Amino acid sequence: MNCNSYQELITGAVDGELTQEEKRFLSLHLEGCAGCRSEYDSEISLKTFLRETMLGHDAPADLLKAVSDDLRGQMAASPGSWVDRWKEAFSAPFARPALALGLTVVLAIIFLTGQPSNDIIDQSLARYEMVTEETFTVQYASSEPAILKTFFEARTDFPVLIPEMKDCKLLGGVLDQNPNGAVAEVLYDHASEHIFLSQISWNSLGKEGSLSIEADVKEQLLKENLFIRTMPNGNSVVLWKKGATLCAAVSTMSSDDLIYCLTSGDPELLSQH
Amino acid sequence: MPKHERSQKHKDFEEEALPHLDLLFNFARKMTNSSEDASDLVQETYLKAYRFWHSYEKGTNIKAWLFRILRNTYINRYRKESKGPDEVDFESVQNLNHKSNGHGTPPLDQALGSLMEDDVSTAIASLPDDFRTVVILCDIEGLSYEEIAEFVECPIGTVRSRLHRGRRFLRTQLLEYARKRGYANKSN
Ligand SMILES: [Zn+2]
Repeated sequence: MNCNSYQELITGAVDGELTQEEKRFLSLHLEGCAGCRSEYDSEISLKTFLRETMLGHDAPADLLKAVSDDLRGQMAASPGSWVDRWKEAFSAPFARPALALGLTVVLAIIFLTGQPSNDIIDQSLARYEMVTEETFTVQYASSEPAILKTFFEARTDFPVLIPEMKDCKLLGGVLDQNPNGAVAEVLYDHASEHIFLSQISWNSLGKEGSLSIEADVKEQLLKENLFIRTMPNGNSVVLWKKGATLCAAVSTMSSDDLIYCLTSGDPELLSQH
Repeated sequence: MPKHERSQKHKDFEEEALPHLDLLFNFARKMTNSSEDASDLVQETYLKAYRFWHSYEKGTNIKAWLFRILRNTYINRYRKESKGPDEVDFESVQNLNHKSNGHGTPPLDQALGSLMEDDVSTAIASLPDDFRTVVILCDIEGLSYEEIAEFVECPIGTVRSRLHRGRRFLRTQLLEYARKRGYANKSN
């Protein structure tokens, strides 16, 4: 064997991660090879040097504060009346001294970012991003349409759509009860693009603890049953009402393609009943 | 969610997740080579972690869970600007590898003395993401291969080979900086 085949073993030896057998195998070679011995020494020096030079950096003092403020803002931004949220901020022991500041932060998060946290469109986009970024392993109830249907039926008071669509693979569904009441979410894969359906009871819209909807969006839905928005990043959102269910579809596809996909199995999917 | 549940969630999160702020910051600081970017990343990480706290399985490795969120946030934010690890040109490193019968870069020990901390940060920052991640976790944070494998979700063998290539790359860079600092390499 030439020296190249010992290089990764040298790395393992430097880190103390070799098995007894690997150790013996490497020592035999090192005894007779000055080149690899010097390679080993260099790697040790580098490792020691890195640890000594790159001292730990403690987080800046204001970071912990910023994070805590964010979290408080998140807690207060969960649905409920403003009065409740503020009462809660008061009752939380850690919040009292910084209450005034906390409120400012809450308001800043809600208004400066322009993202009221419980608007159905904002929520769908945020959830879509999180689910498809694969930052989190979503525990899907099932990727089997029939089982998923039963799962939702037992837990929601509105019919959940699990449409069959051409060339789309059902990845799974999940019920998000936190923090906005029951939102049924169904995710599909379409040639490595995603289609994400968020569904909610039409009657619960705008009620406390549930998602809300912009007035003009609601108006258009009542009039035409369909609402389409293209986001600055090219993502599309399609909202439609079907019986007691409000459904929001999000995808990176154009809205035309998205609608084409949605109706590819059931041409009546987007119609009122 | 009822109020008391919300407060409980907040309390659990503060007790379990927040103590790892320094660890996350330290890692982010070395990945980005910027204190401000690191703070931003950590802030975003905690926001996401909080929103998805219900998907954290109690009793599992919280550090690994937070770390994965940080790493994904980092990748999503910077991926577009940087090349993937496999596209990066390792030719120069490989060539050095084959010279002198498989032995890599010339000995580094003597050169290290001439380097500044900034040189080292810059050299680390120039490593491709996947290699930088393992080098930081192993050599600076002192994690074991097994822990790193759990953090980055790859096999232990991959950790070792990335470390090997990452260190090679780093040595080449550091020697280069040392030369610029006026260190005369004996073999030249
Ligand atoms: Zn050798």
